[in-house]
Amino acid sequence: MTRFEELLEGKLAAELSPDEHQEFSALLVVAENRRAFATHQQTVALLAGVERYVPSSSFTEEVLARLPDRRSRPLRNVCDLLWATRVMRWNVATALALSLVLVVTALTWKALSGRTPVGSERHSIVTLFRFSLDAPGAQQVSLAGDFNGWQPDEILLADVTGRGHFAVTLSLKPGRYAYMFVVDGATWMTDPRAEAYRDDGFGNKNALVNVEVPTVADGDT
Amino acid sequence: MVVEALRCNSTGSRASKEQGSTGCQVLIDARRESDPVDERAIIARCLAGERRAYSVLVERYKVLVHDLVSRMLGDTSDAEDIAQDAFVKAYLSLRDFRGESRFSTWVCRIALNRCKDVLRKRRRAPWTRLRHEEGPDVAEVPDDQETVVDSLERCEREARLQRALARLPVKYREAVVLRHIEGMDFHEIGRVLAIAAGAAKVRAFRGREMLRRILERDGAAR
Repeated sequence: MTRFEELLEGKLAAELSPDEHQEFSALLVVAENRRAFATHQQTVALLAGVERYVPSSSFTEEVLARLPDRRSRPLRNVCDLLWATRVMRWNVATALALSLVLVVTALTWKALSGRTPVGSERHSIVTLFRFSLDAPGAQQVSLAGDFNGWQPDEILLADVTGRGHFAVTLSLKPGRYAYMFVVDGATWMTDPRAEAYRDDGFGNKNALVNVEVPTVADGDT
Repeated sequence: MVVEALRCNSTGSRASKEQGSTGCQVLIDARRESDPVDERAIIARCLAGERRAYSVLVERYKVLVHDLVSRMLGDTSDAEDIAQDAFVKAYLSLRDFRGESRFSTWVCRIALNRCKDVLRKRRRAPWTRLRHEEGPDVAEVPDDQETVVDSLERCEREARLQRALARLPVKYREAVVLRHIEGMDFHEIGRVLAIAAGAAKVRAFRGREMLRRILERDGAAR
């Protein structure tokens, strides 16, 4: 559109600013512009003056009669939810990320499926974990957990330095275990260096250790 | 702001003929500003299964949609059915209505898409008939404020205009009708047609120019 046409459209819509109005008036000096303006005004007036077609008086009732009853069709709602076409917005970055996920998933699946099935001997693999606690002045420290039925006097830790650094190494099968230390047979202590914790339901936290399945590794808590 | 227009049949006989009524009728002016909050509440009631709630929206926009469809198709023979289709389709898709635009914008868009389907089918048909090619219905009785001659002239003038509109390419016709007959602003037209407001302005301008040339050739621009 030319500048005059833009201004003319704005004039017809009564949207011209005072400056634009002045600019438009200046352009109307040209006879051709005046004629164009007059004819557009005439056309707009002709269009604005037409009478609207009115629908029949039963229009609304007929529409309502054609509507399905939503409440009586719960199954249909489920079907609508499942089968309704939806517009998916995407961009190249998302597409690349999705492709990457698919490739990694495929490779991981292939790697896992290519492995030897886990046999009974796999379950014999154990992980050595070293549990330790600094308890200067303590006479005895023991370890209790769900791996030994929470027996407080079964697994005793040794004071390896003679200065209150108690430790013990256990072989653990893969799994996730909760445990606590018992100092001098009476005080239950949560391992301050545990990798995770879980509420014991009585206001304290049990320490957690997670033993991975495939690898053999040593840990020092 | 809600404006309800009381329109009597005094200005046109077509309404009385199609309504089958003799007195005044209350029309809700489709050009009024609707309250989007109110519409969302109505839509929520519809989604909850209250079908009668939908009648409020239909009443509010039936003249707009019916007139738009009539102008786009060039006749009123199928307009009622297609306009009703648009409302039904809008109802069935209410869950997808996100409320980003007004309900009227949305239902107009549905109606226009339906019109385009019909026009595509018509193009493939061997012939079509425009209602106004039949000429004005002389059996209609003008009211007190309009002489028979005035009434016939008005009918003839509108028939020529409708024929001229029907000769416009669809993309210009819809812009001209929405802007100058239905009274939408360019932003709303842009939302209905899924184009920018600036593009809507250009289409309305070009369409009006084409319309003027057609009317001049037809000898009706007077």
